[in-house]
Amino acid sequence: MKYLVIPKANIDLKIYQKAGADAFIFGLQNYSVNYPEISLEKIVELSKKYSIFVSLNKNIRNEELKDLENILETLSNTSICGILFYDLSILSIVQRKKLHLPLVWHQTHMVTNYQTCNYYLDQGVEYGITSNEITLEEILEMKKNTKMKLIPQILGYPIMSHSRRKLVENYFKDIEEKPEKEIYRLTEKTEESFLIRESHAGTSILFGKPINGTKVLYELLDHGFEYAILDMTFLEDSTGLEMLELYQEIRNTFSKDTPIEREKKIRKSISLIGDFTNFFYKKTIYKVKKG
Amino acid sequence: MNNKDRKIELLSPAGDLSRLKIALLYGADAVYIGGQEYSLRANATNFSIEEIKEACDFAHSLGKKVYITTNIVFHNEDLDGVYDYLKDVYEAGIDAFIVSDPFIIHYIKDNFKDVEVHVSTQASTTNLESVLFWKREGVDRVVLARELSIPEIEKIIKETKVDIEIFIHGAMCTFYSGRCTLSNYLTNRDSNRGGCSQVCRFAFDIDSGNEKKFTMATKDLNMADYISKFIDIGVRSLKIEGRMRSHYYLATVLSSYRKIIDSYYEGSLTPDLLEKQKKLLARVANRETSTHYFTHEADHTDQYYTGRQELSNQDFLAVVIDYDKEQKIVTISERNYFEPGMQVEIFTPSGKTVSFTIEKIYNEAMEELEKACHPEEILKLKLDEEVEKDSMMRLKIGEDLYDLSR
Repeated sequence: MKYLVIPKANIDLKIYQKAGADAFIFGLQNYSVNYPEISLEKIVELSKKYSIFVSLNKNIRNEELKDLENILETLSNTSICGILFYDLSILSIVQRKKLHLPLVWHQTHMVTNYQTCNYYLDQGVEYGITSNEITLEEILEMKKNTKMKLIPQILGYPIMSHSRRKLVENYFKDIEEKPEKEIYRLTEKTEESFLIRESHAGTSILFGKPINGTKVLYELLDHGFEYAILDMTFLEDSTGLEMLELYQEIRNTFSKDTPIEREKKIRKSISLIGDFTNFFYKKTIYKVKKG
Repeated sequence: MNNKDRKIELLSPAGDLSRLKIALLYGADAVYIGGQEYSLRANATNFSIEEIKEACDFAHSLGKKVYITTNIVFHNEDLDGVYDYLKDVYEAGIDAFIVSDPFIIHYIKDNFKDVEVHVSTQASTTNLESVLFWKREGVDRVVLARELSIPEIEKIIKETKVDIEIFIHGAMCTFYSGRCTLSNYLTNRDSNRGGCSQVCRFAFDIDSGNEKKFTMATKDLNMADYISKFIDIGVRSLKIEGRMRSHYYLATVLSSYRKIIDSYYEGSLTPDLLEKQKKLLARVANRETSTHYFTHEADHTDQYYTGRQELSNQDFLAVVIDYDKEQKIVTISERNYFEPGMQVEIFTPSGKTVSFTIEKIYNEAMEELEKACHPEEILKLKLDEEVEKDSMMRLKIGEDLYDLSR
């Protein structure tokens, strides 16, 4: 299995590599949401030394299309590993211009069934980042029924929502103050908390606990998954690296690990980042009464 | 003036058969409904296959259309039976499927004739290249994201020649449609499968040292001032939000937009007429409204910061059941309190408004009553002018004569 790491800006990529990272995901400046953004030039430069995926996962507007076309043409002449897209304009341009670019379907909350995976596979899309709101069982069933390369997120804070609105700026404007930090924590009656932050693309809300996918990782490895995402963004530097090292160890030993050894590693991960397994083992409902 | 050859469509929500009939009678050219599966309002009443057939028969008898929402984001478990369901719905006579998950587009196009596919706003289509993608996929219409400006919409129409539908009235999502799962995380209800619990209307504590709650709810949308512009730039369909809204709300909103649209085509849309319709729309709004991204980069003035501020009023007094031409008596079913001396008006599905002062109120046995204070009670009033069944009686708008809080 390959680990695609969303790095923190202050840590050298070589350190991540040493801890087990196989590839890195960066956001392209002004075109991504919730990824560390760098310029096109920097991406081109990094792609010569590392395996790089580039996220262009914002909602695109008419006025950006020309620029976007040029960007995709430039990237098609590099050894970039994949383009993460949300907006279908990217798929459309790649198809229309017949660009040789590996595409990663990254419609955050919509990669939820194998039929739609197969639809995008037929459109030439190679990878799909599975939605964080589906169960492990659903992910395994998707894998059985599609040849798309599925990429679950097994570490990091999950994105809950994204708006074009400047929700933080607006709130402070209303109380005639200015935001003083990049990220705020919201809490609600349920005592759950959420992280809210703004960027050029609007406002995103993330769940207040990081996903611990250690137990899931064993399942994914047992079922032959080839890729997983590890998002370091809001983790403490040392915690992120320790988790990556643990995952590297598991990758190397999973077929030999006894149930006791597996449990021990899972317990170690819980001591590092808690036991939040998101929706891997919890199914959502949508009908609260019989229709 | 361009784009007046093909009249713009007024598209209404309908949560059940009775609402569907009201919507079509009060001026909608088409309605969108949810079936009992695969619709983004999983907890609305929704339509059985038999009801969909009845809805289509009724709409088609009026020369109007019915679209069905099959716009959930499918999970594996939803796939079983989906093709059979689509076939049943098609055979019931539906005119278009509204979809967001694209795998069903080809199935519909390959298997059914004379039925359209509309891409839902859930797909958050925000640019012309994406519209062209859908066009190549055989999609007939795209419902654009609610984050676009009028010039952006105009450019999309001009450069794609695809039928474009936009929302013009009703509640707004705070987040891009399809890009929000707050409901999943806070209430375990899947927003992209119709379980949205409107978490964006909750209030939160924020770690800013400020005691004022953090909220992110948006004001509602009201585009009454821009209908003529939408006609001019070639928008195909104007959509009203709210499959769970009341009969009175639908009747009022649809008749107002119907009047604005028709009078613009007829060349008789005056500022006075527009103001009157806006006043009527304001009376059924339970939140403040804005034009959001259509006219400006949405900011703090487009949001609520002082709690829910959701208002209701008692304008809606009764529904007309019958009119006796000989006796000149209208039979009504009461909805809200009224009494003799009140100035009221009855507005009809055909667009007529009859204003009068209530003189006497009678029960079914023609015994005089002091007041009407039992919702659903059948009552009678004397009225010289004939009014149609399904007309609605309300307080005369613009007359602030009564204390509505009693």
